[in-house]
Amino acid sequence: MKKIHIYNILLLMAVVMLASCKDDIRLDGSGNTPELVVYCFPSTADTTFINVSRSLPVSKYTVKYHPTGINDATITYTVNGQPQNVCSRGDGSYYVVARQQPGDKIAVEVSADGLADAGGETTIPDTVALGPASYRTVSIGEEDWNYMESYYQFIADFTDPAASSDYYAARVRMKIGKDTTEFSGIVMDDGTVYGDSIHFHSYTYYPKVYSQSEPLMNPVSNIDDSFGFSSDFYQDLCIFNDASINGQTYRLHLNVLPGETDPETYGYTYSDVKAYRVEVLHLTPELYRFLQSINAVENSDLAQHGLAQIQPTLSNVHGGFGLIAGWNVSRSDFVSLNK
Amino acid sequence: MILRKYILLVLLLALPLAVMAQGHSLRTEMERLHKTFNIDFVYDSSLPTDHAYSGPSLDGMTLRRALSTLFRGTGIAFRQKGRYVMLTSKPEKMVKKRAVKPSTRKQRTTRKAVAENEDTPDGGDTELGEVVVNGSLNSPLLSTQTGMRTLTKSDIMSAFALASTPDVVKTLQRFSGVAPGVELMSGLYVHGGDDDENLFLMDGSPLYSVNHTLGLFSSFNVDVVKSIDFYKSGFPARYGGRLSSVVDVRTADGDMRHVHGSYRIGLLDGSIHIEGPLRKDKTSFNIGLRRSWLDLITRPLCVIRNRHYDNDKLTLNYYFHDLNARVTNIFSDRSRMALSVYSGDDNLHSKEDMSDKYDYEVDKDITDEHMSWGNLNAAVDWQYKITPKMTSTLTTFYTYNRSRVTEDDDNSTIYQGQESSVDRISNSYRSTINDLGYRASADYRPSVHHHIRFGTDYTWHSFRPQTRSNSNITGESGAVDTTLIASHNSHVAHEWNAYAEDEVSVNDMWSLNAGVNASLFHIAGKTFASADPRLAVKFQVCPRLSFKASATVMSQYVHKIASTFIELPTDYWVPTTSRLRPMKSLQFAAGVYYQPDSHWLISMEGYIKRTRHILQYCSWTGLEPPADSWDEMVMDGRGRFYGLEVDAAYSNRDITLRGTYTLSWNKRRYPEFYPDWFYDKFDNRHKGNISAQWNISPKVSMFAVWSFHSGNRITVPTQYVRLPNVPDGHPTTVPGTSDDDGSGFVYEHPNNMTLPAYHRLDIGFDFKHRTRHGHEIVWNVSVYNAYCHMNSMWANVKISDTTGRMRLHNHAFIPAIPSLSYTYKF
Repeated sequence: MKKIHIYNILLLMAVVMLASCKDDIRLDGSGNTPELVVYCFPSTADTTFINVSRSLPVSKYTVKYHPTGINDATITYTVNGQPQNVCSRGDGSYYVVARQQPGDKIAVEVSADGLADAGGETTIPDTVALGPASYRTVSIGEEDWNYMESYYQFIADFTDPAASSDYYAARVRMKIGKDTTEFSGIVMDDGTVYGDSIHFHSYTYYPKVYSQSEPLMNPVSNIDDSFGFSSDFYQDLCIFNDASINGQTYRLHLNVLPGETDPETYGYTYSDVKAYRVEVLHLTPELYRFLQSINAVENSDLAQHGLAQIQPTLSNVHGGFGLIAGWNVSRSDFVSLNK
Repeated sequence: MILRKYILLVLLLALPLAVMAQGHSLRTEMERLHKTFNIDFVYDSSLPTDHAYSGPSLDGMTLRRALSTLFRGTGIAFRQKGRYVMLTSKPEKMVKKRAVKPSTRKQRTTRKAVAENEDTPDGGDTELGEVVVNGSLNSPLLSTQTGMRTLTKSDIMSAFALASTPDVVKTLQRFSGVAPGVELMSGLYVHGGDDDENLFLMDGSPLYSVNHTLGLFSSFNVDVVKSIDFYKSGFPARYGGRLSSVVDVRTADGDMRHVHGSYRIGLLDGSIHIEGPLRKDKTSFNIGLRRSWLDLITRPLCVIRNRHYDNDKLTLNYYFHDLNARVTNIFSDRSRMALSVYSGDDNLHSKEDMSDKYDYEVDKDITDEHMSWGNLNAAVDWQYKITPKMTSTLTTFYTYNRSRVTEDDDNSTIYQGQESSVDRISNSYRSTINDLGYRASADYRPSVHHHIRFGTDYTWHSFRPQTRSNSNITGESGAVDTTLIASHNSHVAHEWNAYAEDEVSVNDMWSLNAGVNASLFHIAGKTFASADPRLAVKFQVCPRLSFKASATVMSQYVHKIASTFIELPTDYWVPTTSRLRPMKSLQFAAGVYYQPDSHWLISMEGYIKRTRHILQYCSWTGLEPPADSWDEMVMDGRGRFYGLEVDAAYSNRDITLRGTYTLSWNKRRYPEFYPDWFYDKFDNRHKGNISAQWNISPKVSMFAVWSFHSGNRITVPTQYVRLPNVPDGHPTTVPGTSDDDGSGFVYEHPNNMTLPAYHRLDIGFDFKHRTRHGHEIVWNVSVYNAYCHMNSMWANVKISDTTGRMRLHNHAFIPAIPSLSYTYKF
């Protein structure tokens, strides 16, 4: 009798082992409602952009539809409680022209048909003291490819306020060309002139900054790289905080590939004048954390594979999603790259 | 409704197991008598209590008759004194025997030599050597503490084995109030706590890493384990230093009289265990060695594979080992000393040697990677009985924990026999901990109403996390650049503890355990101090019913820095720094414990735990933060954990059934991470286990456990939104930064989704055979996840190719895993 029991159990085990089952997971119930999405990043610049769009719940998403801008939103923009005129640029983009100073409190309230009202506020931070910029050429070993890569390393000192926890971004601004009029036509042997004179302007842009020489920007180690971590920044805006440099004057090391200082990268065919400057952006904590939350998800394969915590995307917009976050910029003088 | 369905399912699954059969060991029968008659056995550990019992059922017998029946023919004598039953080995001796001749009614007294296996009525007065009190005081019904469970070696050995011997941590995972974490890993998340909030003690010395194979196996070799005390609430004052649990593992003294042991070969590992006397009744040894042997397969496989690839040679091997050794010496009745050593090591090595040959040159690319991690622990403890009522123990210990990762990448070009160019990169990463300390403790019983424990301990910590070195040699012949970079970190800390506790038996109904654990932690010129009160109260309504409550405060000064839910060699431990504050917990627990009859024991406990200054690594741009500034990259947070636990156990002659159920909530809040409270990753709302052990016959036994818990939580995006251009929000300010429409996922809430419920059934059979020499052979056949439910490990959002809609892609990997082991006991 007992043998029969054992055989039955073994038979049952053999049968169930041949079959396997896997659970089905559905997105239903997870964020079914569209939300008003508002972004506004006021600074001391005279023009501030406000972007208003409608979110697409993940459970409703199809490839045919994308989040859309809202052109008929009602927006209230105040500087220290004083309403400002808001103009539309189309595709959910609005702008405000107003004089704004460090310490000004900016509030944005948005309403749109069919969506809950949303809004938030922020304060424009002070600038920080930034010294003159310089640069040098450095060679750095590339782990993946086993060769030395040359970079322009831009250096500048800035002083962190001691009384507060501060958040920053740093970038390098390049300037190419000069304001001049040059002839770009063809003169034939017989003196016939084809073509016309062209007015050239200077062009400024922000090349990608590599953070491997800057400890504040958490460059990944070889071990990190082996486990699928990277150190990319959202829109290449390198952010950092003052946790380890509070109250100190600190020297930034920003690497840029020489090829990215070449105007050919951006379709220009001459390089008669090149200049650069270092910019240190003083960010509000919410702007820093918003960017950091996006970077954290993108840079961790383990998080995307469920083996590490995913950082939620920061929002300080009540009633919807988005960010109202101030910032300010300190700039060094332009210095010629050719010198 | 869903819960009721689950319960019904559990009952249905358990039904086939509730079948009666025969056969059991002496020890299990003793445990049954202990529960039935509320008696305690006192006996020498060398007595053969593991032997099979094949006599008649003891149910319904009086205690005396049951004892006589149980030990008949076993060579064990018994003597009852009050609630204690003393067991002794029956020596060959002269006994008086009185015979009555029925016809004449005359009595005659003779002296006769009685063989060891011959039955004697009551045994005799025998001097005891070492005695072991078989823990009735640890029964949940009678112990004062809440949340305490005691496991013996036999409890663990009878459990399910996955490709190895039964596992200590995986056995603990089945307890109520414990979340197992990621499947197959040896996670231990007790009452919502993190994996680094468990104090693992091996013979009194702390262990920092308790896993092999990235958590697949725990480091404890069950062959040498004597007992494990596991506390999840109601911590006595003698323990401190962690917030959530204490796992106090004690290894067994070797047999003082006989040499015996076992060896075992499993699917992935093998072990050998031997114990015996060095000097009879004075000195003994107990040694257990375990080693995986997967590398013995991969090495020849690589050799065979490499024969077919001239230009691509691969080497891959992995092994772990652990060694436990204990030498015990008895100086006198009052003095004994033991030396325990534990060594555990994991090694993973891979090497790929590739070469491309051309007419005049050869390009070589050699990649060599090596990971290793492990522990070395040594403890010497000296017990001295100062008076019959007072015993002191002095323990000195040393703990060494290490992890090391090295990578070497060698690219070179050989032109006409000469090295023409070279690119060699070598990276090394190492973290170590050295702990040296002592513990002096005293155990004093001034009267039957008091059991006072007091003591002090000191630990010198030396943490050296993330010692890095990097060398880069690159160039062509005659012009080679060498770059060497090295860095290291060192934190030295001093930790003092002093404790005192008194277990007071106020009267037959009330008892309490009150105490305090005071600690000082000094690091880098800053000293933290804490006095953690502990109180546990028991109200014994009647012998079968008790109520208990406890309140405990715990402090923790060391942290494991890990950014993942699995144990990696790159995780490292660091002490609290002057920027942070020690982690603290306050836990209240209360419960009711009921033994309706001799077969059942039912308990229900509730707990509420609050934690402060718990840490979470706040930047996921790297696997670990730099060790020199880790305290700037962690977030200070709080935890709220509460729940209800129900445990039930039923046992009869042949079947032991255990069921546990936990209803719990685990919430955390890190303001820098998320402004509100959020559910923990392992917030398993419902968790249950049903296990059954069935001795089908004296030669066949079966173990099955069905595990269930609500799915782990994951973070999934809820909205798809336009993302801004930064920093000014102008759509065209930043050129060339977006390769799509500028939209992306938004993760609004952490851990906002629950994976499907986890459940699996593990089944194992032991087939026993006794050789003609009296040695036992055990074949174990086990199946993990017997009905092959592919439990979800994680999920991510993907766009369906067919519908164009977003859908969750479920990732599940662990199928049914059969395993086999062979054990020979001698």
